[in-house]
Amino acid sequence: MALDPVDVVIVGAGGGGGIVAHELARAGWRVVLLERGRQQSFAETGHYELRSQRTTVLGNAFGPDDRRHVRVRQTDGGDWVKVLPSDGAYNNVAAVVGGGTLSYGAMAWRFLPKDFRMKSTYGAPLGSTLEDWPISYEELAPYYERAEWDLGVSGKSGSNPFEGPRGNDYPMPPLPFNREASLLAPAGRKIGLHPFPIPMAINSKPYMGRGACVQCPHCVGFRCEVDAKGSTAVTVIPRAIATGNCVLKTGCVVKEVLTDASGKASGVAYFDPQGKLVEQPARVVVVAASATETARLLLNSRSKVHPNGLGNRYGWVGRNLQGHAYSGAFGLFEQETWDGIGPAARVAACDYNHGNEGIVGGGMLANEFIRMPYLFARSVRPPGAPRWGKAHKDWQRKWYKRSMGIKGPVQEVPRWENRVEIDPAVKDYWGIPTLRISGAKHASDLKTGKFIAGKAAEWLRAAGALEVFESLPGRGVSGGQHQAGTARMAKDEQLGAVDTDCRVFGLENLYLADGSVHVTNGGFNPSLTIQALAYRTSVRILASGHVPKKG
Amino acid sequence: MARIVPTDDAPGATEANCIGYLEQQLQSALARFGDAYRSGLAGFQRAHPEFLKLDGVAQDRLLEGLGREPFFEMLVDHTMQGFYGSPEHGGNRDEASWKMMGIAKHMGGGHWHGA
Repeated sequence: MALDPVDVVIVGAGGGGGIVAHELARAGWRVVLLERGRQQSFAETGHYELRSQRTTVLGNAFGPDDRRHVRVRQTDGGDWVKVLPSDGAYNNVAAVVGGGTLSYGAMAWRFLPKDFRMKSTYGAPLGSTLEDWPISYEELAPYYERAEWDLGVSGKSGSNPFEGPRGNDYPMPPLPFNREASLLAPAGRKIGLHPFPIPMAINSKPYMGRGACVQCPHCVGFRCEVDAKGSTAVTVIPRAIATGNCVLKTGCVVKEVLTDASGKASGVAYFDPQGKLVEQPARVVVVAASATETARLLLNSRSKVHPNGLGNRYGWVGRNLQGHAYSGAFGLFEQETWDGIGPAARVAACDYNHGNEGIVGGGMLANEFIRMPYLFARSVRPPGAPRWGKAHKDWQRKWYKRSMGIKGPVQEVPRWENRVEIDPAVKDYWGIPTLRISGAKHASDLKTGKFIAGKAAEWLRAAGALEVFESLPGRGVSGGQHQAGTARMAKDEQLGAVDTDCRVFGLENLYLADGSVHVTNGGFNPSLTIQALAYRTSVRILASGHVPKKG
Repeated sequence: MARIVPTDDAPGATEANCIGYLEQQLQSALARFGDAYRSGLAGFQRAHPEFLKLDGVAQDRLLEGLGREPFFEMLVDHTMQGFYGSPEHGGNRDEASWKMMGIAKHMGGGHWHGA
């Protein structure tokens, strides 16, 4: 069944897709925004640790569900095994209106200027595909600002001496320091760091019709009870719908991007909530389904003109999968450091993002979000500590409120071998071939991780930690919620999957708006960069002439 | 479970109803572990028929000897879930673990109760 044609169909109502929907709807385009998940209220998920975005032992709070979704993952031993969404190896991104932004911690980072010039800064290590972005920080800066004001970011301009030039200040002052940040900031300065309040897409005061953060201890992994997080689900998506030009359709699973005889995108085919295959013709198609699912969709959309899938003439689609090689340390303290005030992650330093001798890149360091009790019981223990029994219980009782973690999203060196591809046999509930994931971190990342963990430990010791233990990244390929890189941006079709407008090579009317286009992923949580690019891509789409100018 | 989170001056797995958590979740979200429990429990009883007659210290010693045996690992994890998770999921009765940690006031149920 084919529906009436629209100006644009967008696949994925997450952090990137929601922005494109609003920008185009505002300009008068007729928009259909497709989302495989649902609209979810706070009451559905509440603040239940065991079924949240961080702890999925009782299932994924925000989808996708284990019943209908499956992927294949290569083990260290080389075997292919099926994995379900609630398993970390699946590399899940939430399937819900708002996508990852509905339950994220909402750190709202701009990448640093050098993050866009990794190859020219460091050279490409052997066995890597390290490259510069074809656009600069300066090119993206106005769109970062747009994202900060449109979604609502609280922060302190000028407080981070390492950041690139800014235009205007943040629209809101930072959230106040909690006890951890008050201890760590002066300790950091003592050892020569430059600590500053983390910029966050969390309201520090009422902003654009949403209330201020109530500083509850449940933040990352949960939907905000008062919608103080600037998720696209509570900002740009409702605004897009309010224009009257955007229709949000949930429970719709896109099977492929359709192309015509000339090779242009002509729309998408999707399964509606009743499982019926529907065609939505459109003049422009935007895919914003996350780095893994976007690559899967491009690879599953084969035709005579595009025999290897879309944008994949030179084989870049699905390659260079990256996330972050998280590294850090925990410290135990004499006094209580826990004050129950969320989001808890409040102080960061960018002293080790670059310029580390013998190291490629680095990462931002920040104190951690409040750790929930079960996660703490299972993961925060020194090596060799009892895993159960009286001693385990005593440890939990004694240290839960007297411990702090500092960690950093270590920027990874991309590898050609780290990839998603279409599994030759396994299909999901709808019969769509699923993807399989394989690869391992570059040795450089493990070295950087060790370095960053050491610096985190140093900071904790400066704050008076009695005991410190480090946590290092595993060897396996990253992805996770920070997944990126599977359709990298390049000046030339031979070097990537999309051009500098995030338009897929070989198709004049197909664009991407998620982390897949990132050449490298910065030493930061990537959401604001995905979003700044989505604003920029929207401008390019509007200027492309695919749809006559409205109004 | 009573040895994994023992009772002392604060409630343990018994008082916090970790078994209730497990029974409830084995009917739903943890249903896939049903077979592992049936065979694991039978295997454990065969290998250690004396277990229930031992005192706590001897039971701990026996369990320590299991190392990372998969059935015991699973039981440790689910006991921790029952003890430290939200009461809405069947364990952590009367917010026992949160009271022990001194955070019950902040955690309170599905909603933020305010400081």
